[in-house]
Amino acid sequence: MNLIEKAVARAKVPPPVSAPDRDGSDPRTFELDYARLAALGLYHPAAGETPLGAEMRAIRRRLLRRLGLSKAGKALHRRRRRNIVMVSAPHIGAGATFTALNLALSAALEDGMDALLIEGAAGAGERLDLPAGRGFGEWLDAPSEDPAAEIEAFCLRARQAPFRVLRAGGPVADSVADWPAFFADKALGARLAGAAPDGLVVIDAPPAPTAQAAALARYADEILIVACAEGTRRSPLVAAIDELVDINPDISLVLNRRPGGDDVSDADFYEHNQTIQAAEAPPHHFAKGALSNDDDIRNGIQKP
Amino acid sequence: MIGLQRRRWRAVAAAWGAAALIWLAVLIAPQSYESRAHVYADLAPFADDVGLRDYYRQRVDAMGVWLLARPQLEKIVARAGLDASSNDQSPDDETEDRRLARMDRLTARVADGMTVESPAAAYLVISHRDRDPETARALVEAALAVLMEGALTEEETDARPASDADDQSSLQALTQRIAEHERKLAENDEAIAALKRAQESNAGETADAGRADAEASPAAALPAVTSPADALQRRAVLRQADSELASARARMTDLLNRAAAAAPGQTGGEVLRLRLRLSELRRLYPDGVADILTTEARIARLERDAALAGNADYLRLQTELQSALDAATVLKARRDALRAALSAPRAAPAESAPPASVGVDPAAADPVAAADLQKLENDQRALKSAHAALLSLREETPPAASSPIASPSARAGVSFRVVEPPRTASAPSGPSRLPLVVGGFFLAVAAGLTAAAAASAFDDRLSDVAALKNAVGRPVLGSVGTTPSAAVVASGRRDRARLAAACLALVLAAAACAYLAASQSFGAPRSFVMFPADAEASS
Repeated sequence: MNLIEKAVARAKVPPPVSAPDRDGSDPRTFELDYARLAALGLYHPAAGETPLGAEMRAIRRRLLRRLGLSKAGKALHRRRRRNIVMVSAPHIGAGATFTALNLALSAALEDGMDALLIEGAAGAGERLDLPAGRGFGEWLDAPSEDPAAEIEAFCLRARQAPFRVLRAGGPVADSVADWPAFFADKALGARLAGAAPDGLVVIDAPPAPTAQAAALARYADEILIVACAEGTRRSPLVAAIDELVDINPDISLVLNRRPGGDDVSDADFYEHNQTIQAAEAPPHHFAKGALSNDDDIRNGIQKP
Repeated sequence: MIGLQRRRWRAVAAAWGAAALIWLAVLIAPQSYESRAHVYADLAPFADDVGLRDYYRQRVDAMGVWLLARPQLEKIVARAGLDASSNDQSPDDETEDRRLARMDRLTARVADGMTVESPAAAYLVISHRDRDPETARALVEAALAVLMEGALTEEETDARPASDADDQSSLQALTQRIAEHERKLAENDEAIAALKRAQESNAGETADAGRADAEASPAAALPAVTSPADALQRRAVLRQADSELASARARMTDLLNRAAAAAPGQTGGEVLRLRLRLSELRRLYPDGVADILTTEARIARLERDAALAGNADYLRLQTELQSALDAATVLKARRDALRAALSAPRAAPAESAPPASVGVDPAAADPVAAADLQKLENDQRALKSAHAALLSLREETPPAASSPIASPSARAGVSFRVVEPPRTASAPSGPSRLPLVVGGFFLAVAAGLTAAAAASAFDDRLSDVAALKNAVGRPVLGSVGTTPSAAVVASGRRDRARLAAACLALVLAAAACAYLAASQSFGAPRSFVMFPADAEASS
């Protein structure tokens, strides 16, 4: 296929498919089916007190720390914004889509962060039962001065939480050979970061050895490689990291399907228990600035 | 442990596979049946001679070794019909090499399965283990027959290839040996008659000298008994001569025992002992027997290697034995003369002066000739005994097929008595399957665990956060466990139930195999023979 044919094919992009519009609401919104999420083992509001919630909370906390973002999505380092996370794996089935979905869902549902999930590889939309349509490929072809406003035309927004999904889209996503050329755009990083200026951009990328993953890695602020316990061998993992480390050295790891579903680290348990206790304990209200110095804290402890 | 838990089904499969293989091998492994025979070597003919008893006891023990030599094994193979059954299967134009190779295999098989033990002195237990109980019994019967024939004929050098006509050939050899014995008996008779004639002719010439030495020599001719008082006196003298002769024989026996008990390093004693054995062997067996040749060679080698002329042990024993032998010879001659005088008709009183030639003992007249005559007579007696045994054996041997278990009568040398003939085993004697089945179960369990552990050890798949961190040296943000959904929990429960069922089935299969193995009787055929501490005491 030559360039002309590619251009013609791009011109024949189908019109955007309407999002679920059963109740007459905005077609670019969708309803998060929590029961479906729970059945699929994905993060849902009730999962905050489960081991999955604690595990995702711990991962998210460490990830934000590495990105230099606060819990609210504010940049801790004002010089640059780093909010693009690429989730990949050494092989198919390691759990990259699962991790990317959970990461974005937990950030949106638990922290209230603006989470944008970009489908670099098909899978996430199907799990959320989202319709196909324009998406990542089309958005790449439509540069705009205002990425945050422009991306609204391509992504689907959840009604219950600040959670958006940018589906894989049309021919760009399918044309593997064209990916490096498209991602050669110097401004793509800024466009991606600007798509969720106060939140987190999570890219569900294809497996690491692919050219798409290598192309995306150039613009990611953090690369999260997902390994599957008792499923991922050492050699492909090392090969995947070697493939990416020259492009982007900010690589960290997540172990999926760890043996023993209830086996979480002490720190995760502590955080998990604190969350549960906070949820179960009656709320304490302090006046603004009441505990502003150590003496106040000491006195507050002695005289609750 | 996580690796083992993850590979639990691999461990179970490996354990089942190993158990099935082991139990199948135990079930199809050929079982061996044992047949045994108890043989007692009767040493009664030598009960009065301790040295000879020891010699023949050693000989009985050595027969166990002799029986497992290749010529005897070939005879056993032929008698048991193993080569005949092989001949049926092999082509007629079988080459000599192939026949020898086949015989090698058969003899090796017999040698591997046959054991000859001597649990007590003069007892032999011949046993054989084979996959076929009938073959085991036939082989033991054949070994018994070969043992008894060997004790009689001493045909160790007969290494003829075994065949169906072996019985006929043995009979022919027996007949030839009988004819040879008869020829030797006739020659000995002629020689004895010639010696006696020569002694009688010499008796007249030496009558004067005998008369002169009558007072000094105890073997001198004695006049006939003239009165009852004279008879009483002579009987008293005869008893005294008998007593002295017994003492001389006891002295000889003591010397013989000392010679027989000589250590191998004592050259003189050993040579003397070997000479005594050679003398006895020559008396009992014809020349050319392997034992005689071996003993002669041994004596020759010792005499060549050692300076016997200066050997104090040898000289002392030889001198003492010679003196005791001379004394016994003289006393025997005197006793014989007294007996002859007492048994002779009483002479008239007028015949107080006997004629010069009457009463002169030929032995006293010529001791060398008397010794030669004595030796010839001893040889003649041994030959007659062997001849009688050969005739008895030929009568007992049927023309076509002999009965190998037929209890032989007294043979030349040692007679064997079959105390317990071989029987067909009703139960296998081994291998015992119960310990194999139980051991196979534990081996299978170990194999399963080993397989799972090996799979874990050689598997480079990452199992935990630490392994992940160590593998690539990158920060690990966390881990996500398997979500215990209801379906996962139910699946895990079913998996555990199936695992327990598989393990329980393995245990039950092991128990069933063990029960089957325990229900089958094993063991060697029971014998009720009680071995005495010393065969001499029982005999």
